Amino acid sequence: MSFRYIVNRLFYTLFMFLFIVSLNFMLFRLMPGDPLTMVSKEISSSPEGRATLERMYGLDKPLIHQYGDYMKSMVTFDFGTSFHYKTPVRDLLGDKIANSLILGMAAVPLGIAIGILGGIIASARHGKTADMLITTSSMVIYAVPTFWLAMILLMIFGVRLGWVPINSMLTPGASFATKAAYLKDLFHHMIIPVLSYAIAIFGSYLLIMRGSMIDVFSEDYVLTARAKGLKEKPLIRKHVVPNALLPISTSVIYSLAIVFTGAFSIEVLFSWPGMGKLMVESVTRRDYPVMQAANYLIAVAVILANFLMDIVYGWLDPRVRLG
Amino acid sequence: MSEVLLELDNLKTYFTVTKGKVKAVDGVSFTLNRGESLGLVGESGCGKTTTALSIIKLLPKEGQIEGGRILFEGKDITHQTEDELSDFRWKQVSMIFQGAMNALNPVKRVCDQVAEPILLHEYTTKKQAMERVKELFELVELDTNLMYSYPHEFSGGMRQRAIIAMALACHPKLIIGDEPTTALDVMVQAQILDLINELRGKLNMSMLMITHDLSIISDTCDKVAIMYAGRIVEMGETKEVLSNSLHPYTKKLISAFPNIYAERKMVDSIPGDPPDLYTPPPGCRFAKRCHMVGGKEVCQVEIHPPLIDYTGKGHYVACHLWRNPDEY
Repeated sequence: MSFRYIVNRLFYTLFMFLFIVSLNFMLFRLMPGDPLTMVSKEISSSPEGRATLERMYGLDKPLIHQYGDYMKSMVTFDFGTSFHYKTPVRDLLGDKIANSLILGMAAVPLGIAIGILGGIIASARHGKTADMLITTSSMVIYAVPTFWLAMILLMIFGVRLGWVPINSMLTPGASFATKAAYLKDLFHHMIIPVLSYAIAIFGSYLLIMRGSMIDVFSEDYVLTARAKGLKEKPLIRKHVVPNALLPISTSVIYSLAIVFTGAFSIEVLFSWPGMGKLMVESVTRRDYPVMQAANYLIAVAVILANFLMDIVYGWLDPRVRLG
Repeated sequence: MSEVLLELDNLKTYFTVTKGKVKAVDGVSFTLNRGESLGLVGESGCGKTTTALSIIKLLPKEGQIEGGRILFEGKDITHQTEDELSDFRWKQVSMIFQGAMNALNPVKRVCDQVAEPILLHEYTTKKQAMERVKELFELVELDTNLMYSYPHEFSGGMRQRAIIAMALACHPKLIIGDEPTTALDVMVQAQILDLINELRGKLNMSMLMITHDLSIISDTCDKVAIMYAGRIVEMGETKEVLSNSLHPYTKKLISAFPNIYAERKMVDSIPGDPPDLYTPPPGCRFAKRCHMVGGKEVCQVEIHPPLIDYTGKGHYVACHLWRNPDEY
C-alpha cells in the first residue's frame, strides 16, 4: 500500500473531523435564543450582570476566539463538569469507557468470529441440511430483541441455576487480595453479558458472510481455481474467503471501532457500569456535559472507524489502493 | 502420429431439475488425437460447454454424467475419485474459460495465480515456480516486469495472455478453450488466436475449441464438430465440413455468416428455437426447423439419425436426407 494513499486518507479524515466538530459549534450558535437569559433572567436583565456572565462563559470574546477555545477543549477532551456527579466529565468517562471496552472487546470479536465461521460453513454446504439449520436458527436469534434474549439467559443461568451473578461487574463491596482473584470475579460476572452480546450480533455477520461467500462461489475465478485442481478446502481458504471478506470487513471494523461507546441494552440490563449505561442515565438526568461529550466521542469513533476501514480495505483489495 | 488422446464414447450428461432431467449432452462421441485441434460449434445451450465441463468434471451440482465413457490416453476417467481428479485437472487438461475477463482473482497478483497450479502439481519451490512464470510470460509475449501486477492493471488482451500462460503452466496435453476470445475486440481476438495457434504448434498440444464463431474454427481447428441440441450433427476435417457441408443445420449456420467477398445481402437466419431438452422430440432434433423436411415422415418419427461417415472421407453426418444436398 502506498504512503500516498495513507496520507490521502489521513487528510480526508482530518477534514471530516474538523467539519463535524465545527458544525457542532456552529449549530448551537445559529440557534435562536439568548444563552444568558437561559442561565439567569435576573442577572442578565442588568447590563453589569450580562457583562459578568459573558465574561464567565467567554461569550465576550470575538466568535473566532470562542471557536478556538471550543476546539481546544474538544481536542484536549475537556468537556466541563457533570451536572449530576459534580466531577470533570473527562475523569468520569475514562472509567466508563474502560468498562465498556472490557465487555465489548470480549463480546464483539467473539460474535464476529462465530458469525464469519458460521457463514463460511453454511455457504460451503449451501442448500444442504446443515446450511438450512445454521441459517434459520441464526435468523431467528437475530430477530429476537437483545434485551429479551439477555433476560432469558439471565433467568436460566443467573436465577434458576445460580451459576453466575445477576448484575454488575464485580461483587459489590468486595476487595480483592490478588489480581487473580479480581480477574476471577470479573470473569464470573462477564460470562453472561458477553454471551448475550455475542449472540445478539453474530446473526448479521453470519448472514452477510454466507451471502457474500455464495456470490464468490459463482465467480469465474473460483471455477478456474477448481479446474487448476485445488481441492475444496484450499479453494475456500485461498480464493473464496479472502474475496468474501471484503464486503464484511467494513462492518467488522466499524463495530470494533465503536465498541468503547458501549452497548445500551446489555449494559443497562446487567448493570454494567459502562458508557452505554452512563448515556442512558445521563439522558434521564439531563446531564448535558456528559451527553455532549458522549456524542462527540461517538462522532470521533465513527470518523476513526472510517479511516481504519479505508486503510484495511486498501490492504485487502488492491483495486482500492490507487484511489 | 495419430495417437488418440481423448475419446468421448456416447457421453450423456443430464441436469436434474425439479420437473425431471434436462438432456444437455445426449450421446456425444468423438476422438481427439495428440497435437490435433477440434472445434465444437453450436448455438447457445446446445451442450458445448457442458461437454467440456464433463471432461474435467466441473459440472454444476445439478449436472451428472449418466452414461457413456470419457477415455483419456485410453484410461476411463468417468468415475475418478476427487483425489485422482485434482491430479488430473490442469496437469493433463487445462482450460481457458468463457468470459475470461473474470477468470483471474482480482485480489491476487497475476504471478501468484499463474504459479498456483505449478506449486500444486509439481514439487518445486516458490522461487522455481516464479522462474517458470517468467518463462511463461515470455512465451505469451507479456512484459515480465508486469508479473507482480494485479489483474485490474492489465488490459483485456493482456489478461487473456496471462490466462493462456496460466493454462500452459503445467505442460498439459490438452487445452480446452471455452470461447476464449468472446470478450475481446476483433484486433485483440486475432492476436490471441495467432498466439494460441503458434503455441499449439510449438508445444504439440491438443486443443478443444468451443465457440459459436465459425471463423475462429477455420482459423484454429483441424477438425470440427457441429452440435445441435445435445448431439453432434456433423463432424470432419474443418475445410471439408465448411466447404462441403452435408447437414442442413451446418449449411444454415454457414449462411448465417456474412461473406465479405460476396454481394451484400441480408444474412440468413434459422427460424424457430432449439427443442426443449427436457423432452426432446423423438425423431431428428432439427426436424422442426429444417428447410429440407417438407413433410418427410422419416425425420419426424424415426430415431435421431446416427452419425455416420457415408462418404468414407471421415466426414460424419447425422441426417436422413444427407444425399439431397442441393435441395436448399
